[in-house]
Amino acid sequence: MIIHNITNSLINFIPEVILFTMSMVILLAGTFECLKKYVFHLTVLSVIAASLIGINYLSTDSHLLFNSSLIKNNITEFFKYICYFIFLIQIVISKEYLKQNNLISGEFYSLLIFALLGCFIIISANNLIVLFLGIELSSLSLYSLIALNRSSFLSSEAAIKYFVLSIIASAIILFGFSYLYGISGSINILDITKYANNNEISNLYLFSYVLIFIGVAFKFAVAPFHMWLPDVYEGAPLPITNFIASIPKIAFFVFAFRFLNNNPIIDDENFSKLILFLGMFSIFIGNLFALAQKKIMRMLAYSGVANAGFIFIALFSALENNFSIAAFYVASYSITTVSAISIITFLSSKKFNLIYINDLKGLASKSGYIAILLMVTLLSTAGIPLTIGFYAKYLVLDALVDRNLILIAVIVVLMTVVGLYYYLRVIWFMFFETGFNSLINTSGKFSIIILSLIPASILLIFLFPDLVFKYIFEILT
Amino acid sequence: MIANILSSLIWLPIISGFLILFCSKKVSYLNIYNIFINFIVFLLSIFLLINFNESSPEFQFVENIHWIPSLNIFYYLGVDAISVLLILLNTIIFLIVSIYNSTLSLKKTNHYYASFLIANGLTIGVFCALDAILFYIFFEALLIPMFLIIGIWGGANRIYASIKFFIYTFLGSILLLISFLYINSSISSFNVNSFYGANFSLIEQEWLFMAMAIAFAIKIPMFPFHTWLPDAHVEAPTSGSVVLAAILLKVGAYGFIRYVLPVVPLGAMSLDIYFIVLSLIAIVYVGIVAISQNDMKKLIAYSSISHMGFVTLGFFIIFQLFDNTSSAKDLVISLSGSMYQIISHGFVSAALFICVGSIYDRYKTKKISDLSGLLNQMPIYSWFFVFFALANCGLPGTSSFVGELLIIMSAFKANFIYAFLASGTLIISAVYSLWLVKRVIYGEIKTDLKENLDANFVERFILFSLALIVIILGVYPDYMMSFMNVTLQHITENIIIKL
Repeated sequence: MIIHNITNSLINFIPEVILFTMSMVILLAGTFECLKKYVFHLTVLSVIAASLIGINYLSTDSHLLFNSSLIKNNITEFFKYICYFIFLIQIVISKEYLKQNNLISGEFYSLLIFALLGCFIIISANNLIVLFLGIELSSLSLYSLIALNRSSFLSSEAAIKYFVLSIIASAIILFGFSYLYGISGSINILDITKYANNNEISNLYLFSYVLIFIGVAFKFAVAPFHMWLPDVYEGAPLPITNFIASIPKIAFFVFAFRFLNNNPIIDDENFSKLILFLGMFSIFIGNLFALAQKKIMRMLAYSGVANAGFIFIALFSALENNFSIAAFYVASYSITTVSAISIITFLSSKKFNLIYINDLKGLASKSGYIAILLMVTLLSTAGIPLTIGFYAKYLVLDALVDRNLILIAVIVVLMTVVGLYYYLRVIWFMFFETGFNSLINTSGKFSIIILSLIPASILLIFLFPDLVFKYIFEILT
Repeated sequence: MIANILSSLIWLPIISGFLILFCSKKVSYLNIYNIFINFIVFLLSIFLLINFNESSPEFQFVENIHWIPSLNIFYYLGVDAISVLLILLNTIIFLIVSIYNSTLSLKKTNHYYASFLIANGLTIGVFCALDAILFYIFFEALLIPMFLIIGIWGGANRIYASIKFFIYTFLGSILLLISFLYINSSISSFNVNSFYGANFSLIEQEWLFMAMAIAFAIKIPMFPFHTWLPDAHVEAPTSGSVVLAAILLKVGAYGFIRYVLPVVPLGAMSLDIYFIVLSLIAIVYVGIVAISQNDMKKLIAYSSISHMGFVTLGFFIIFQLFDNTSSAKDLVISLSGSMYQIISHGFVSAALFICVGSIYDRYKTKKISDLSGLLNQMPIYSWFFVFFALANCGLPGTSSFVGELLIIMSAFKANFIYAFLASGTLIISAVYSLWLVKRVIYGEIKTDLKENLDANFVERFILFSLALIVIILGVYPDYMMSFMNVTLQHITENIIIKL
């Protein structure tokens, strides 16, 4: 029986096992001079293999693996496949950048896969201990990856900041976990939820949730826990920023979902007020600070803060356990951010590192196509129609109006108008200014095709959104 | 064909606009392609006009597809008489603009043409969308091509103007979105017909009215929200100004008549005095501001705001008319005056902007003080300029006279003071139009350009056809009046029934 249980779990866990083994192989391959040039191909292959093999074991019903410490259902698989997609685009686009900056090595890709694996474990964890292991696996890999560019001062600064603050956040989350265990007597999240449903919510239970969500707020970079984000965006190598901006957000969304789903705490007035306050504050801080930024990555970081605020408001509006709005927001936001950062990675080269928004000026006259791709991406982040970002914002506003929170909806909307300015500023530098910096890289047919994937899907999903909506609404309700 | 004519009208220019992005860089082919597509769209709109049954108040050529079932959003298109007229105005203006564009030498011609083609399709979409969210999507997406047109091909201060334009109008339209969401949350439908059937309490109607009216007032633009328009006009390239004045402002007016007045008439009724006062300020004060302008484009921009003041006056006096006379016929006359003014101003302002653009092409200046005595160098051109300046101040026999007359007539029935102020400005508009003519066309020649500067064939053709339209609409208004009569009656009934 136990053996059967383990084999059954392992079969469902095969993609993760493949990723784990392959990251070891890649680490090993990186140490041999003759194999070193294949680490990139090995990484792409292993991610594709894991995702393809994973398709075989997809099923519509929910499985509890390894003595119900992991969970596997439609939701986890949906988000994992988004992660696979994002991850593949990131590594393919970043290859040239890494090569030029001499960062290609076995440990780079191996750590990156470990970080991905950590996020996968967060996504499917159903157990406080496993969850914490997942958080630490991804965070530890990311600490070292941020510091990978040893010659860069900013990079080390970012790594230290991220390390210290992230450790504190992990400690706060762990502190919350310990209370939860104390109250409910179980480390299984389903049991903890069941406990909350059967008993009245005590202040201690609420307190532990507040601690956990402060940790989540930190990981999402929701103001006032956003201080690390601009520095990390600026300091980390661009491919790592790309990773941090997207995949952990998806993972921590599933984390938040796991804790809130079917839990009466979501209707608790104090708790929902906290989430709402964090979200509103974040939208304020993010949009206002982004206005003042001259560096493009810092601007994207603050725009990330503002969007994280939106995600929190979407969580707040998740009345009747309808998390589909937040899920759609997270998915659309991470995909568009990846597109934006990938385009910036593509434009940067050894000769010229794209740092200031200024550097983009006249891009449209050199390569109109790439400028249009970046424009579509930014308009999607701003929530203008013809892009999926519109639906993301639309759904959040719709939920707020449905709950009769018109005033909040109006405030949120006014802040997005403020935020529009800094997206438009990038567009105006690309299209309206002249004087192109010829050192910016705009060549590479294959990369351009890969880069067009996301903007094209942004526009296509706008035209035919119903399949996506139906799927998300179905799996999350 | 007939079944999908609205979709073809919308998507033909949009798709060709995207295709032209990948087309060859040879300008002559691009010109032919661009004019050809705009001409086809124009023919389609004529076809729409011919097949439209004006004796029925129902929406016609309806296409209704359940686009996003999970959000209850429909791809619901249909036209009534006012939509048909505005679509026709739209296609004529875009055809004229495409012909005018072929005489220009521009950077990135294919992108320029693409922006205009896409704007063409999106505007037609605005005029025939009957699902509120679909309308909103077209309404807001329209900002993107206009933003690029002003920002890329505009004048020296184009960045400021384009950003101001985008943010201003985005601010308005996002309030509109919230109003639509609010209406949907109580009637769970975005369908215009269900909007008309919805009943809200007075306080709800007032709030909804404020939110939606601000959105459209920014677009029209009404007095305190108008500051983006002069900037956008001055910086936009000539064809951009033409589209802005002739089409984009009308989108705001269309929004009032389609989404504000029949949906929240009680709210509009209780707040109408503010909007009447703002309209009168626009007519009188902005008219006076126009007199003092030294930039021709700015002058015409302010005169546009002043003329659009008549349109909003015509919209908002209907409630007082209803109080005074309670006959639906007077309301219809007032609304048809506004509609007439909308169409007429579309042609007149387009022609004036093309005139100014031609002067700018030759003399590289838009400043009135730099110009004088153009009559000596370009007599035929001057004839057109004088004609359209006169049309702008409402000369009888031109189309603007009809609209202004109807609105002032209705204003008399509503309140003498409104009529007094509104008709008084006919003098103001005569002052700025004629004084402009006096300074620019007559007088001594200032420049020493010797070569033949008169209007070329394309310009003559464009200005002649616009002048013809203005005269036909001016001397034979009955066709258009009877064309939209039934539809306006229907809209009036929708309004009265809820009062």
